[in-house]
Amino acid sequence: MRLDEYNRIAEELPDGLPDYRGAVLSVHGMNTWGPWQKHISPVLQDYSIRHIPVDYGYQILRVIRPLTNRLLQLVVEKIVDAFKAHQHLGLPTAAIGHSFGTLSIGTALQWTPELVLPRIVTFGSILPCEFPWRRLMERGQVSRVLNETCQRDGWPRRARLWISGAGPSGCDGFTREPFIDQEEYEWTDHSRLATEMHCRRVWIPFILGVPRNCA
Amino acid sequence: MSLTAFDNLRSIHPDALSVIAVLERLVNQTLRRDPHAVIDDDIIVQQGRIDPVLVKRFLVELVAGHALVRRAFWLCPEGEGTTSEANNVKEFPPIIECPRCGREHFFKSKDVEVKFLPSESLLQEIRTTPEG
Repeated sequence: MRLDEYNRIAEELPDGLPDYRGAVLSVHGMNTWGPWQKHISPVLQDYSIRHIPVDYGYQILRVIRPLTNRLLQLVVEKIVDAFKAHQHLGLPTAAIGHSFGTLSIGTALQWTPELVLPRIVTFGSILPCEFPWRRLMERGQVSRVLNETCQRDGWPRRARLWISGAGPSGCDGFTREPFIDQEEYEWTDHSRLATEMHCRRVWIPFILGVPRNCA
Repeated sequence: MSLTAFDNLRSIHPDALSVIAVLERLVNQTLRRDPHAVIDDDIIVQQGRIDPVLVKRFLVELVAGHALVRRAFWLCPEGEGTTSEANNVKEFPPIIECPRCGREHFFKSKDVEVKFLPSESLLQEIRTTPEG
């Protein structure tokens, strides 16, 4: 039987043993339902990577301070649930976050020391540039980060005016660390990196830890 | 004599006793002839003329019950046969030079077939259980 078919049946069983190369959770940004998460799902499936898109609905007002933290609590809970669902199958979980999704992933890691996301992709990131990745790495929660930036993206700079704990790392990058790969794109603005082709060429090799021409 | 793993299936699926009986007979026969044989759901379905959906389901349940062990076969997308096989898809490289067609193939889950081998405990039980 096909691998996908085997995995589908195995996941229905309480003690089934599905067979994946890896696992990913993705978190969308504000002002959207994150259609990109649905677009990358079949690509991840091609590579036998289990994907849980974390969806917290279309949010605008609840993102803005003083409500930010309350929404973050909800999203962090969903991130931890997705992590546990992958962990239950013995799969190490990578994360892909966009915009408010990056703040949610960063907050989830800070609030939940048992959350372990070895490889994290951020694009359109609104985390502060000095986000304490090193501390999270020292706690064994993170081992490598790929931060994709664009100077033309105005949202990360504006986000800190309205959103508690936000910063412009989606434009200016994070404080340099050997385990953080920063890649600048010229024309991608805030959201244009989330394509199937980019997922195939850049995100999947990063998640699997293989060279880019190998996936 | 019935095999323990299939007795477990019978207790979980009392409505599918006839399918389980055929599956048990075919698995038993196959492994008595060759303990290293690979169990393929397509062949079981053709030999036993039984419901393919149930056969797949039961084989995966037998893996969960540790009677069978899954084996992943990366098939050449050019249709030339098996490129590589492994216990776990993580063992496959992301790209492989196919020993069948000589071309390089990128890993795609659609090219992977799962088949089954008997666990040591199932083989032991078959060896010690009288036939018939």
